Amino acid sequence: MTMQFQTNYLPTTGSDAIFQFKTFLVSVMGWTVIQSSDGTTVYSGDGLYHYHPGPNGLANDRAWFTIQVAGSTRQFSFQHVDNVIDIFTNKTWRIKYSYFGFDTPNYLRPFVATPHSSSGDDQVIYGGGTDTFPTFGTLFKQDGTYTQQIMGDPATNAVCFFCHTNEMVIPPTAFVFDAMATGSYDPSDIEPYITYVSGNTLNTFSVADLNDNTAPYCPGGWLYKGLPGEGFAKIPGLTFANYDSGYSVPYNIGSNSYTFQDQFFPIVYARPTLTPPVPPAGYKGVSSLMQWCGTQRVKLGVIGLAAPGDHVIVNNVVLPWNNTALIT
Amino acid sequence: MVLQFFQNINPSSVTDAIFRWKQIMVAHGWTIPQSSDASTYNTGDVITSSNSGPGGLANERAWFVIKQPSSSRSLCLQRGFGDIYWRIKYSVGGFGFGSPSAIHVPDGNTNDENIIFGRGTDSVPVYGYFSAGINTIQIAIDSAMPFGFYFLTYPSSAPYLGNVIMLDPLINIPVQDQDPYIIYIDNTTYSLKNKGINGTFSSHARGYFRYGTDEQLFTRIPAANYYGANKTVIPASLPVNPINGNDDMFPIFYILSASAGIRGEQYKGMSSFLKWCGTTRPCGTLVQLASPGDRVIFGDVNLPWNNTVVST
Repeated sequence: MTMQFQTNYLPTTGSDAIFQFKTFLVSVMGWTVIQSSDGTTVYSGDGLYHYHPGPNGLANDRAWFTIQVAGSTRQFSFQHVDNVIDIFTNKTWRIKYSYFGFDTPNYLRPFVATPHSSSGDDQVIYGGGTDTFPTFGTLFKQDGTYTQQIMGDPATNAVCFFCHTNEMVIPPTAFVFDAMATGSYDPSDIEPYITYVSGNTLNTFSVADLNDNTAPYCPGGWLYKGLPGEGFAKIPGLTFANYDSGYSVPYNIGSNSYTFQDQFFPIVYARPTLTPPVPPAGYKGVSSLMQWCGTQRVKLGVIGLAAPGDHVIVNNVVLPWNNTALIT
Repeated sequence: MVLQFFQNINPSSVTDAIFRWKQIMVAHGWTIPQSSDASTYNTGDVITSSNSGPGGLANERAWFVIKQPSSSRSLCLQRGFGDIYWRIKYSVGGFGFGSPSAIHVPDGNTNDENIIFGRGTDSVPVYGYFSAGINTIQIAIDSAMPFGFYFLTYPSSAPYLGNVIMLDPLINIPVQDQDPYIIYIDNTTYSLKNKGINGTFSSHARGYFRYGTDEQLFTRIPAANYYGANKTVIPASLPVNPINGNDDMFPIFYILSASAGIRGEQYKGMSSFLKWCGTTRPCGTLVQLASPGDRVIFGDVNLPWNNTVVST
């Protein structure tokens, strides 16, 4: 894993943050923008040159782009909407994911609709509705009030961005495309990824989000992609618990009793057999990006595991980091 | 870790099972510093059979201390007034103290003597009772550092284990930990099941928190299970992995609970023997981690194995 970072960016708007993320994905991760729209004109490839309103801008009502993960058919689509209350503040978005990609040409479709996948494996991972009648979710806080951190591993295509204010406040925005750690999943699993998008809640990167399959922003992913019984489902990151006293990890364990260092634990994704059964169920893998914090000290802070500042605490988890001081 | 296996042994009684375990342990480096057949106490091993009478273990209050190679870490086992009744103590510093006699077991070092089966005092011992009905015993001994072992008794065709005595060496531990082990003794039908090994107040897994320091405490150290979707997911709530058709297995973390009277919950270490089973299987099912039959399922966990079919 060779993580790449774009740190301490101060977006002026949500469109600015998404535009920066797109730029990172293309220039650092080697991903490709397949189609795009500024809300008026549909472009083959990337026709979005800036994050402001107007021609070729992302900050237009229903502007969108689809971006393909390097070396695969996997694609995300990001679509923005202006709403009545927050015109041009660009806080609200709809995000889709497709393993096979959004291959149906969009040129004959209304410009407001993002492309479909002809395979039918479109998954709305943030927002709701249909492509023709989309609904959108609030992903960002008020414009100009947060810092954006972006990271990604070009070797695995794992990427993440989050937005935050200060160390005492839970970061409000998270987008994670989490690759399962090598060795933690069967190599014949063609889809070893989990998506996690959370916005404008008090639960971003928390147990409440990550561990509860009934939570609106619980991580999701494909189980058994390409096999009978495949399904896209919410797949919790499991805590470590005693049945008669609740969970110990995350954040209920003290620092190591000998070294006095904080301890971190793997996040295992698995979806149990539910009662009544709601298939699919099964083990997915172990996160390559996130680990549970054993101890909760701050909502945000740089910490060293193997080297100084090589991780950053974000609520209940740690993520890889490059020892950069956080602008808060 | 170089495990030696002794499998599908048919003992005639609980006492015979423990005697056979002792003999195998001694043959692989463990020693008997002191022992008594309840009539004759001496240094070394005076227990030569599982019968009653001279040299026998099947005498009320017969006892022996068994010591780990290359350390003073020891167990002291004493038989009660019947085959299934036993009292067991654990000491890292060993049992070189007190006034042992033919019926009186030795003491451990100061603040380092822990009754892990039965109760009472050495003078007035109260015995726990092991599960009878042993069909086979299954033993694995590590003949190299860190010298762990497990000893399982298995009733005929039962869906549960009868008894477990296990010294589980831990991995992923701070180097300063002077007792990186879990000692697990269980005589219940929950042996090595989630309910027997997990649980703040009921786990049969015990060990030291900060042995050798001012905060030293011997306490229950449950094996944490994996929780999500408002239920215990691991062990036993996952289907077979349909991608490869195999059962999924998961590492076990031992975590002290806050109720143990220490400063909050504490991580102890990761089991080197046990892995949780994702899927429930009958006792004795062989599964594969790296090679066929290199693990065996008992309860909700799987342990190292050598592909031998388990006699039922």
